[in-house]
Amino acid sequence: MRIETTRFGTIDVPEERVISFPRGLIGFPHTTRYVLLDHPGGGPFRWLQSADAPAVAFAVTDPRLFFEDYRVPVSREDLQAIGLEDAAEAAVVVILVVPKDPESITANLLGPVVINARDRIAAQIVLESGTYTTRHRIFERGAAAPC
Amino acid sequence: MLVLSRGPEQTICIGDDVEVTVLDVRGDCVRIGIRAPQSVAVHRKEVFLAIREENQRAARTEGEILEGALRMLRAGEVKR
Repeated sequence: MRIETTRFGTIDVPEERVISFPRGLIGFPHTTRYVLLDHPGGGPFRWLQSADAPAVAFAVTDPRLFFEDYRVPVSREDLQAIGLEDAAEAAVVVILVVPKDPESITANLLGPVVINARDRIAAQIVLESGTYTTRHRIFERGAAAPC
Repeated sequence: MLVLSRGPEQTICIGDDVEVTVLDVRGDCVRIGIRAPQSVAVHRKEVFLAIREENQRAARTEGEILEGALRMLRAGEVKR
């Protein structure tokens, strides 16, 4: 499938890599097909690129790389919505906001994206626990071993 | 805005397939049960607005800035 994108030009993606978001993302209800692309420069970042709207793409990451204790208790209703029965089968990514100062990148841990990778159905869910917000910084300032 | 008075265990139907039931009233807090098809997302409004705003900010992410973050991460200027 050929997808027009603002950031990556025209890309060819196998049909079976298209992920369906029946409800869209929150605030983007009509954009219901996405593909997960590796960031061209590698590293821990990926892109959730809309297959319908060229300009709509979200930088995402695997939350476990940055937040060891992060847990996503997916409700039965949310699991059913993506065709799963067991929360352990859901893949999770979180959406990043990347401001001009990259050190201030934040991850939305309140509204993670859960993916049924087998059937390629996904949804953005809202966690009920009061622990998380929409803005958690992913980096600490300071020297560390390069990865 | 349509305004209806309902007591505990009374329900409002919205269209053919959405039901909103008042379960319990305690002081200034009302517990509400909602039955809706899976295609209808139901959220607390303030949470919905916060996540929508964050998604709209996130959708403006530029590749070059993410690349800058990756360079800083690799150079050890920031850590996880």
